Amino acid sequence: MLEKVVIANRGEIALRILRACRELGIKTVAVHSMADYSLKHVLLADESVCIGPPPSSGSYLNMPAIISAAEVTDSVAIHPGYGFLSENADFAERVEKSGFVFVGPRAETIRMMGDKVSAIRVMKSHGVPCVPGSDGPLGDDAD
Amino acid sequence: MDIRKIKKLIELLEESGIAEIEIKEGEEALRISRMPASGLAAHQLAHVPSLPLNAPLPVPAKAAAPAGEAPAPKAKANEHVITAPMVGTFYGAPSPGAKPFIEIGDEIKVGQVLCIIEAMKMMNQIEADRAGRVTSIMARNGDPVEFGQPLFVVE
Repeated sequence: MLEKVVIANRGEIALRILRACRELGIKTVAVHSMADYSLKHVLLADESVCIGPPPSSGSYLNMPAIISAAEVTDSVAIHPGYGFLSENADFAERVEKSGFVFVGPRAETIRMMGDKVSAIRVMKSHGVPCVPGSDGPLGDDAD
Repeated sequence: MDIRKIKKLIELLEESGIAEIEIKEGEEALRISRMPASGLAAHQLAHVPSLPLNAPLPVPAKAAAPAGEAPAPKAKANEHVITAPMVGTFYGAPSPGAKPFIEIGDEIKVGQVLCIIEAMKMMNQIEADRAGRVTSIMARNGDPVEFGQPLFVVE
């Protein structure tokens, strides 16, 4: 069982992770931007860390800041929720490389299935019936 | 209640030095409150400018700086608070046991290294964005710091 989890998301998504952690007896760390310090999940979490300025590029999408927050709070895992960095294979990889558990698919899996073209290719190679389509990315259409 | 009366009341409040006044007259009630210096109010105040996603970031970031959990001492007019630009572990000296980068009372120049914040095993040197004399160091060696947390006060 994980002991302490960083919730790398905000709002309702973060609340759902928080509730799941509570039920399982896992401690929570909310990371938040400067604008979100008063959001419910930040107030309800066991600990909170401000990771950046209001724009998400500096906070919720800021990989080093989120991983550092896990480091300074002695967390064992990072839960990305959905959206933001949840389908970012590089993030999943960096989290694992930094010694934390990424709560989600492995980086290879995200790389394989996050992109629709490669996902269809993999499915076909395993004999999964697929709806016929373009068999690859479409070219640019002027209109 | 007419506007002149309210104006009078505001003037009265300003002269008196009291923080809040509440007046009830028949059905009308009026409460005038000065910006209180309490931590909570500073919180709300600081929060407002940081909400819109302003392009010139440093200004709202500085304004919201005292909004950390511990209400930081309010910066005086001639004081400048240097805040943490990233999440990490604070180190006041270049190596364990070494002389700290700066001490209280030191004169610092723009660009001078003030401390190290370790993030993801990287030692990031934090430089001064303002010259002056250090009047306060608000983090201790090994402290975890969050983004926007006040680290130094420069006069």
